[in-house]
Amino acid sequence: MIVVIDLHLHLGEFNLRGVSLNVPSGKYMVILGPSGAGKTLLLECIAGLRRPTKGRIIIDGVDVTNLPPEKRGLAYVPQDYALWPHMNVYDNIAYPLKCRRVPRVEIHRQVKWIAEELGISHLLHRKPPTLSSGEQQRVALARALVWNPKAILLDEPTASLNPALRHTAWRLLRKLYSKLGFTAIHVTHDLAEASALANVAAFMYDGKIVKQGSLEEILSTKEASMYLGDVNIYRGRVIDAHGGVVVVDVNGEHVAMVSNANIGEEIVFMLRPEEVILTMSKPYTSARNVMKAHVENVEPRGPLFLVEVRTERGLKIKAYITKASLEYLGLSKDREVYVAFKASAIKRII
Amino acid sequence: MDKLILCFGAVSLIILFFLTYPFIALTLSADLGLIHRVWEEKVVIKALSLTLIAATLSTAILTFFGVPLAYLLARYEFKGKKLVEAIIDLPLVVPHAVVGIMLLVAFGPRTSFGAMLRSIGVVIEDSFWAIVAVFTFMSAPLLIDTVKDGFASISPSLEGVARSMGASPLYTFFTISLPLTIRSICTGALLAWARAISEVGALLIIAYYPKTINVLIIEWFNTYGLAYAIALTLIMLVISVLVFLVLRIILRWRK
Repeated sequence: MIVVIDLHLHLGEFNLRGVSLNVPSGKYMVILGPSGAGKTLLLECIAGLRRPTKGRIIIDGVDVTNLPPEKRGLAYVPQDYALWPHMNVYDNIAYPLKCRRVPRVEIHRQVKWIAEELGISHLLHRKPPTLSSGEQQRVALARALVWNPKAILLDEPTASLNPALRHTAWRLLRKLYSKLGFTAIHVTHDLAEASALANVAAFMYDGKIVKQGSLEEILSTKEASMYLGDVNIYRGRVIDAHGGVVVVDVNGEHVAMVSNANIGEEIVFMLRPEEVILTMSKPYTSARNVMKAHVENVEPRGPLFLVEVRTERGLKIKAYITKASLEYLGLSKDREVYVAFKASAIKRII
Repeated sequence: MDKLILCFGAVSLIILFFLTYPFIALTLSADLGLIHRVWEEKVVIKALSLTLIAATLSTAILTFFGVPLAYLLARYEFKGKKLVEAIIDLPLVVPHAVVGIMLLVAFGPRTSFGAMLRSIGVVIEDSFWAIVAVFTFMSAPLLIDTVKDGFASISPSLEGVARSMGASPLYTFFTISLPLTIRSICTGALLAWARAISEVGALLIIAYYPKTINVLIIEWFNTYGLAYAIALTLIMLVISVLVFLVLRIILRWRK
């Protein structure tokens, strides 16, 4: 477990102002936040590359605040991957093992194993500058994972990838996480990335952790909605697939969406509040998703209103409506409504 | 064609002519027979080898002491850093004769420091070590500044990742920082070596004897005239350019 207590650091325009965080062992934590929030600074402090002016960092019960990076047992993967250009891929991956004086035969075995896991066996003799961004990312992950660190610290690891490769990288990270079960702290400003990977999350803003918990809890904070906007993100398992439309089970609620996912596959998807229609009676509509719900909250969002409803099976949905619609429908807390949205309005994240 | 390119091209040609023509003029004015005779003079061989050995040794000393200093300056902030950087660059602006006097006053055999050095066989006046001291002093800024820029150009995350993967600071330096700076170190050493073999002003004060090749050129110019000085100069020029070319090729190959 990694525990950060009241961490302070002032570094020009970047600051940490009393950051506290708990990362349980074996959890994949994603720290979300806008640029300049102090995410990288926090990661560098945890890695031991910067010394905080105040506060403590505890790893597995040991206070490591004053320990150098090499004594912490954490693998740091910076945004640029920092592969050593004068070494080939094999030597890059073998480096942490050489630092630990692992016998040569064992180094060879472990490098071969992790290279196979990440599909980079054919790259072992290549130098990093000759690799594509996606290949560099996989090499950086292999180097971080080969020596079984206490946790890996990932600083926006998909920032330099194009959108298609980013999705591939998320799938790879999920696969590796479920297979190897490492502890991870992953910082990003990309909500889709957080949705795809996090099983615990935190939102960082202006040098502070505003909230730590599930992604849904994070998104309910004022700061997160201010920065990320209001968005519905769900994780579920495909229970039916037919003609390009799949049905996903999200905590008992069935949601239809356009996708080529397979039955049994776990997917994460997003629904924008502006795509959601609220009606007072059951609509006769082409929308594939119609659910009965009751209003939980109404609050203004500039010229619009955000209406948060919960379906009978417990699915929370955010919808935007105009002031005129709010008055026309007479919406208030606990009022029963019908929620409708099209299968094509849903965007699959992973 | 763009007027700017034409205008700047014309200006560039003038400066390039100014830089190139002396080499051509020197080569054209050479007397091959005289060069052959000069080449057979023992005093020339002795002065030449003394210059090359002293320059190489001073470069090695500078590399040994200068690389750690360059690393500290590139990687760490500390009180008095600006002062240290100014001290390193001072030899670039101090007149050469003044450097000779300074070294004599600081490390000459009649000073307390010089007496200490003499007790271990190092005399900084009219000696091989005096030449090495002058070369080291004059070349220091070139090597240290070049290597410092080399270290500064390496992303700190390359070293940070090595540390987080379990490498000690020293292991990180020798396996990551140093190999990545080797081109800058070679370039700095080349510049320092070239600066050393061209030095003469300070040597006239502190180490006229044993004669380096540049001191000999001046002596022959004053004693035998321009023709003998040209013959010596050409030999020196050819050696310098050859070594320079070889090192440039090595550096390009590494790149």
